[in-house]
Amino acid sequence: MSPATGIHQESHLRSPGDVLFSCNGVTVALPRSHGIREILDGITFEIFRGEIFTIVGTSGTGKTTLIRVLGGLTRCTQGSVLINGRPLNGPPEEVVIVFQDYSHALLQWRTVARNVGLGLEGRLEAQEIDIRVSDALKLVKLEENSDDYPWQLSGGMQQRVQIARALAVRPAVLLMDEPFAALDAMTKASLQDELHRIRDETGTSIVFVTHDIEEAVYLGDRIAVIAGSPGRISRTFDIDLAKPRDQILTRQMPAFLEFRYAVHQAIRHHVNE
Amino acid sequence: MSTRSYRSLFRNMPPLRGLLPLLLLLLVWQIVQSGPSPYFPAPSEWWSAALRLSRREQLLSAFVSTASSFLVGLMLAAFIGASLGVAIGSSRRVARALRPLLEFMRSIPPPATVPVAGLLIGYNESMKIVVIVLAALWPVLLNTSAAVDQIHPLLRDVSRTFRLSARERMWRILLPSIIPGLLLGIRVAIPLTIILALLVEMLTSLPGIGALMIRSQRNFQSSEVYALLVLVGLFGLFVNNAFLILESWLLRRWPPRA
Amino acid sequence: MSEHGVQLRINGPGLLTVLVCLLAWEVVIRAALVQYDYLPAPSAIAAGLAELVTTGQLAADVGHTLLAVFLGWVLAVTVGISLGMMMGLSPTLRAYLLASVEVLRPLPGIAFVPVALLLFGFSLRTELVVVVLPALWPVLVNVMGGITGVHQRLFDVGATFRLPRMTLVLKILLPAALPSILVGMRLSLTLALVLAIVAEMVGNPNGLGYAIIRDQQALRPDLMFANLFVIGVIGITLNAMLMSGMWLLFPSAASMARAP
Repeated sequence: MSPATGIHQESHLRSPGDVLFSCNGVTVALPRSHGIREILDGITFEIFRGEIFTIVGTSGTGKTTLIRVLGGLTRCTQGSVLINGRPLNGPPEEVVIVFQDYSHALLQWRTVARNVGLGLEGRLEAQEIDIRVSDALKLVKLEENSDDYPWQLSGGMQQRVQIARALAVRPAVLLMDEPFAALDAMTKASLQDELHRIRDETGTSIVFVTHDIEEAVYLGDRIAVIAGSPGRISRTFDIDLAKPRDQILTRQMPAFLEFRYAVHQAIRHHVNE
Repeated sequence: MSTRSYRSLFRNMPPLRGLLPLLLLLLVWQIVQSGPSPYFPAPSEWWSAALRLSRREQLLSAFVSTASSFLVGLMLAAFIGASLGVAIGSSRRVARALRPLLEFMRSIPPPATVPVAGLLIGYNESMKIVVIVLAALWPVLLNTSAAVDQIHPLLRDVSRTFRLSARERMWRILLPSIIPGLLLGIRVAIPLTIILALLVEMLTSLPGIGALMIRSQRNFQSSEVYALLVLVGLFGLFVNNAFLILESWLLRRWPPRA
Repeated sequence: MSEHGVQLRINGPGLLTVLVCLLAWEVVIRAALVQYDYLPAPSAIAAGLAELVTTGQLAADVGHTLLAVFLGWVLAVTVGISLGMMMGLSPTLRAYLLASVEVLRPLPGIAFVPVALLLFGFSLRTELVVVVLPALWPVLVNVMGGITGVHQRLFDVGATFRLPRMTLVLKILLPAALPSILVGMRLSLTLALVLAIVAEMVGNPNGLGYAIIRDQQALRPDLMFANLFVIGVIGITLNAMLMSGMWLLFPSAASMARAP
């Protein structure tokens, strides 16, 4: 299939009830020392239930700001974000963010188990918390380390603790801000596959922001390309690569290469506009 | 010399409205207690007392006395402390051997040494300087020797690669590396130096602000005591901030402290 | 390097150096190599120390100084932590107080002695005024700095898990700020001891500070040095006790609070 015809735009085969998260004309402008700086402009997309939606772009395109807006940490200047049809008013219950700098995001003075339980304390009974914590740790394959401290673990393991902590509250959407950027290539690869498995086992939607084009294509069911400053969505398309995906085989498929090319083009064309 | 570093210093200054509580306190005090009093004289009284003292020509000479002991003592302490610090920091074995001795000497509060020095040296200006130097050299020594110890081992390889002579090593690598630590040590030593100068003056009535303060206190001249307290406070404020500015100017080429 | 607050390995060369210095000192005095009327030999100092112990004078002096230090330190820490926390948590309060703090902070503690004498005469209250006012600054500054220095990411985590404000402060901010708080408490304790001695020398004729003045006037340098030695020991012991206490209660924070 040639690049021109092989990529499916915006699949219209889903029902409106599947839309979990939607972003409509989101614009963010922040005051700076001289006037106002526009970070994002007119961001519009939808995220469906149970899918992995990757957002790919270079640095400076406002990706982190977008995650913060979706997570309710930053207000958008214009536009709206709807979760389950409801407009956002602060961090919504159904959404949790996983940050890139795990060493600052984890409570280094607490054990892994007590970290994972952070979002549940005061909201569930102690026994229920223990069950959820051990379930979450099983999901990320860290049951053995529940009594360790984060600083005793490797980077990849610490990031898995953060993911477990997010999963423990059973969110509908996981927002991940370049979570694997600080890890080495092998750890990154194994965590990508774990993310697929976690989504398959829990059905959680995942919004995954990255600057790594191959990672974005490998992981995503759908992908949005963000480019320019202020950041705008250049293109959004489906990635219907075969599942389950494999680090070696999938990355060699012609379709994979075409998707990768399409993303490159989307970035380059947008920059030249 | 760019003005950028000065501007960033001023940006880091706390907002001026933070002075309101202090000014309000003085204002309330002035209103409630508008005249002299043995315990809480009004701020206006402090000012007239200060004028009285300066007219009697005591204030200026006392201030010069204290300030000069402070400066001389501090500079001597910096020089001696830095030299010793470099000597000690250069050798791990020497540092380890001297550590208990230095730790113990460091933990003797310097004020306690004043009577001892008085007995051994007598009550004169040299005793004052000796006491100040002996106390102020510790922070300088400790910070300098720590700085030497922390010189990255990679720099040793660098000097070997370029086959630097011992003198070149000292001027080009050692001294620049220890300057931030040295300045930090001096900055820590400043309040200590001021306290000791005042203490010696209070105990021995050697000329200085401290002596003036005790004399005013013994004569129950409360407004003079408060006026001198404010003077000391202003001196401390000035010296500390002047040194901060000096330090940031000297360190303008160094990478910012983590 | 030992992770604990107490050095567990015996520093051989270190002890040897101390012994050699003491020995040299003894020999120099005994052999009258140096003529100093008021410089006693270590043996004379040891004898003086024994005298202070047996007459009970040492216990009385140490008792008073420790009482003043402890009371003053507890007061300073209480005020310092309260104010420091409030200023750390509220940018408004900080804006309206910080400049005043920065103006008052450099005031040398000793300058308070004449004022305190005017107000309270020769008493424990004078001593406490001199101890508390300067000793609260290290605590305040370090607590405030500890809280404002908490990484932005921890606030984000609190937000994304929608933790209530009290939970955020108690479970995230305070533990994160704890190493700084402990450093402030340590600095304050060292300062409290120095200030108590100063106050006893010029303000409140009690305790070890006054003992040294008394010994000086009685021309007993051996007792002076003995008291000096005791003060040094107290300084080291107080520090070690505080570090051990902290290490027992907050192991991870204590190991981060080992700044000099």
